[in-house]
Amino acid sequence: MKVLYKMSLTLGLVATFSGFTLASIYQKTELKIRENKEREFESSVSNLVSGVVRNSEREIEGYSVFYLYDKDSHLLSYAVIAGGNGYQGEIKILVILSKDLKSIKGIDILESVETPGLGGKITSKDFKNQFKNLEVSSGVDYIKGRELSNPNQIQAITGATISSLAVVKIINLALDEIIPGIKKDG
Amino acid sequence: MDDRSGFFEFKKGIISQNPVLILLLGLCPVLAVTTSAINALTMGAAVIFVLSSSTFVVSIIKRVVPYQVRIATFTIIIATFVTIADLFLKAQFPDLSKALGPYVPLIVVNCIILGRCEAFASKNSILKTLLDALGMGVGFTLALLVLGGMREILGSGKIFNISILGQSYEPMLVMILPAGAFIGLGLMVGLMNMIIKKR
Repeated sequence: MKVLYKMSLTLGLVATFSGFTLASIYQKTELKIRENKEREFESSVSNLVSGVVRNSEREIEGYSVFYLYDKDSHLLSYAVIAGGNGYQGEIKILVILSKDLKSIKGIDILESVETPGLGGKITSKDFKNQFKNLEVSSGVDYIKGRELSNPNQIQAITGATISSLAVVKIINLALDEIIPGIKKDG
Repeated sequence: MDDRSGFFEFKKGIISQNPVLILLLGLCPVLAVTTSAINALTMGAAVIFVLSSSTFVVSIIKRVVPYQVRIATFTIIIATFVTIADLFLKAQFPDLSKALGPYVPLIVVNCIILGRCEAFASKNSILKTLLDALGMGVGFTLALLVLGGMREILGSGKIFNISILGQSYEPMLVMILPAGAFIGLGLMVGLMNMIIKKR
């Protein structure tokens, strides 16, 4: 019986101590982590659209949509954060839509845990740049190894088809809901 | 074991008992994150931190932990330090943390760490434990760095993102793919065995 008490006591103490340590470390780093994420979002947006001075966030069909304005309060474009499952975890994508909602101005991968060196390449410039000025009226399409033939196609990454497909799928799903939503919203 | 010097405890982790090349422990991160030298180095640093802090704590509390729950206790301690390392990387080096992805949290299940806690830290003095952990950590990091550097040079012609082989070099894509990790590790383990046999 004595051993049982000693076991529970030890485990309880160690777990409590570990809980307190983690709580205090989390408190110290949380702000910094959030700032990093915000800074990342802002720098991603300004890399894709120039002259954005302010944005206003709206909820459309469960997505966060940011209306981006220049210094004279003219609407420049829309920024959408779309998320979904990748090969081994969630992928969060920033999609910039043109003002007329007919094409993508650019994308950025905000969060992903794809295999480093393979699916991880969805965060590379070469992959992301393919989405610049892509037509979206009939959805984004991906192909492998062939020449691009339509203005809505991108080339999938060799060795990371699932990750490339996931990005395309997440974007298509989100745009299907958001474009009508924005039009309705006016 | 007491007649062994502290220097021996440090040195053995680098060559004669190198965790990656001789003991073949913790190979999952070794194979997965060594696509570039900087990833390998960050991973190595995280492992050194977790390994030395958790074996240090284990060595302090080794006399009061009941035998039956020692593994559970060690695991909680390791998980705590891994989470600290993960949060720290996310706050200070968001880009590196992104590149390493899930492999930092996965240090929890890296058997080098639990292995050193159980096999060494719970039986030896605090000073020796620290030397052993540092040696093992440095050995792990060196193995990762060599493998990561080799894969980055052959697979993309760069090292630490600086191009060294020039434009005319056609990268061996296979070295960046998982197969390259196995080929590279196999060659390194073979080479290490050759060196040790010759001694």
